Amino acid sequence: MAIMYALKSSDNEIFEVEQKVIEQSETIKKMIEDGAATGEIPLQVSSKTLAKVLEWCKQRQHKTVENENDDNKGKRKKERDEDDDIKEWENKFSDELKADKDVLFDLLLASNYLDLPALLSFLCQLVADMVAGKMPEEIRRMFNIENDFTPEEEKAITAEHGWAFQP
Amino acid sequence: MDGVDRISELPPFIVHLIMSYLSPKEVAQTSVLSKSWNQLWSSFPILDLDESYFTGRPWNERTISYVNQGKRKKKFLRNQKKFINLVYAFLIRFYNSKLCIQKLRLYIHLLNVKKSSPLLDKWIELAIANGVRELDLEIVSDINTKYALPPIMFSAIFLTTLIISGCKLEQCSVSISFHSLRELTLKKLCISGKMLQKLTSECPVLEGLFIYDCRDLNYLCISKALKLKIVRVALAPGDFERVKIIAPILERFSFSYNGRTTPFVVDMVGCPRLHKLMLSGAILKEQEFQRFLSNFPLLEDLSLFSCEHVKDLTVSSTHLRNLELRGFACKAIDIDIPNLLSFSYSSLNHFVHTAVINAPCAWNVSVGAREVDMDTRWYLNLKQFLGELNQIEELSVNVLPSNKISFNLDEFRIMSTSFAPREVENLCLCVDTPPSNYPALLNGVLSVCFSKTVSVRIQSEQDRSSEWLYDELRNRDVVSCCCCCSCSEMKCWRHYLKDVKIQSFSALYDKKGLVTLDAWPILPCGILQLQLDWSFPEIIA
Repeated sequence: MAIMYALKSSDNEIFEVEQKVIEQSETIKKMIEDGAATGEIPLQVSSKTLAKVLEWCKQRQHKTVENENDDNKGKRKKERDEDDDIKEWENKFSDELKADKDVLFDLLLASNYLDLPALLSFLCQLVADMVAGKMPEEIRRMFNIENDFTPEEEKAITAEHGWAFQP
Repeated sequence: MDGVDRISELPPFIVHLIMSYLSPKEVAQTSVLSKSWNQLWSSFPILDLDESYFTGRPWNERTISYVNQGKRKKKFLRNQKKFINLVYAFLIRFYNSKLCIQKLRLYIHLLNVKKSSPLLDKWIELAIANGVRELDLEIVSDINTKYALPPIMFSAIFLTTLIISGCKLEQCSVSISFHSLRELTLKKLCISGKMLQKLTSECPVLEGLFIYDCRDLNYLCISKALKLKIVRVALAPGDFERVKIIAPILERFSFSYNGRTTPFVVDMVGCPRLHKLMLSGAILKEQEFQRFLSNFPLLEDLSLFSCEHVKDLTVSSTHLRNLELRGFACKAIDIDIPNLLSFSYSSLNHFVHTAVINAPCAWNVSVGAREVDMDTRWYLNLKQFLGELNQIEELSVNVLPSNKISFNLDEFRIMSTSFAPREVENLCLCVDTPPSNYPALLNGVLSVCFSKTVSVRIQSEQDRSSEWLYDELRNRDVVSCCCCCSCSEMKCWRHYLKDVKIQSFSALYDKKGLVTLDAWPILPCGILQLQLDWSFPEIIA
């Protein structure tokens, strides 16, 4: 029987999760080890975000378990299929986040707070993909970044980085 | 989320992590977004300073003379000046604000090494003063004059990764303080065997050593490398003398030395924990080869490419998991590896004359006939090589325009020791030969094996071999093809093939694949895979 833990979100929702799934988070692992979590483990993460975090952790956990059970016969094809499945899942996950940037940034902060380096890198890569190849004005619009430069200042900086703005 | 700038809420290190996934140009562009972004950009600790953004396409040590004259030189230097100013600005800013440089990549061309040396010395000094962790220097200059790295280089105590390309590392008596260096890569570096020995012996935590194209390197001696796990060496032919490595936990070693050479001594008795070994080129003498392999009782992966001096290959092991033999000119191989998981063999020249192979695992075999004719004898040898019980995952047959192809089924029957063709998962045909050769080739390979699928590599739009093959497989006429089949136990493949279907087509380049089969489409370069459905009578199956 797998050991279960109860996680409490900042809006007081309880999530029952297997130990294996949540131990990917160094923060929670430490809380368990320190014995701070006899009952519910209180987390400074909203239920909406926590649900997403757990979605990620469950997927990652499946990945490692399946790899362990692999026998070597026909591994290549199986590996290929598995990789495809993971890719597909990740694409879906990314698309949802791209559509709702609020969740994306909550998740970024949560992955940092919970110490989930794989999720953090995944999300940073995702944001980078959104930024890549866009003009500054598009990036500002996408992330509501206020341009607080005067036109003269902006011109000076653009000139300074002339090489970066050439095709 | 309207109007809220969430990205600015993130801690700077997360924004820096995001920036680390962007190209240098894209990173520079973020500086113009807003004042806070400009701040974030100016403290971004990964500096990728590449001169080719200013001076155009990258030059190498051979083509650099092109820019070193007249008008071109003037323009080049003018653009380079801008780059130099930028590098200085970066390094001085980091120095003044005492920011740590996580990673510095510097790529520059030197038209006049002597004149530019003090400048580069200063840059390296600044980078080291900022505690640079990862340093990647690529300095391109004329093939005969190389920039000599300054001794201050060796005081970089925080350095964990060092990549140096195109410089010179001279013999020196200074002690080396690479206390944190874990990975060292030397490319096109002028360094002697003696200096390399000193360097590696003074890096106490070195785990990975990678050496490519170092012309002056006359030997490779590594001792006192207690943490070393990976060594990879690829050298162009030269006066290389010997290898001696003492590294008690070394796990992977690969050495490629391609070119006509006399073999040299490779002493790796001091590496008992080696798991993975790759040798490419004529490195070892035949007599020493077996003894060399016996040094590594834990070896799991062995790859041997073009080991020309080895004519007789014997490998016997219970530990080995993967074996790859490529470009062998062996006369005989004797392999006994009962626990092998994968075996791949590729030789485009000719066959091993005597092969005794006990390797009960999936085989990947690629053959050709560069030095011999593809005649009945060749097909027989192929069949014999595949063995009777082995599981053949893929058999690739590579045909060159120069190959003479012939096949006689009667002769094949007489000389064949057993009737049944081998079972093969996928037969891959890479055929560059006139259409008049197609029938003999097809009859030959299908006498050797029945494959569940056939893949044909289409090399150009004029290549009609796939069309011919499909027609031939579909319109097999048993009666007219072989009157001789009636009296023989082993009939030709036409008697057993029930059906053929097109399974897939994957284009090499992104072009539209096949749509309709009423008329054979002109296929772009790619691989067409056909599925074959066989039915065997008792005697064959």
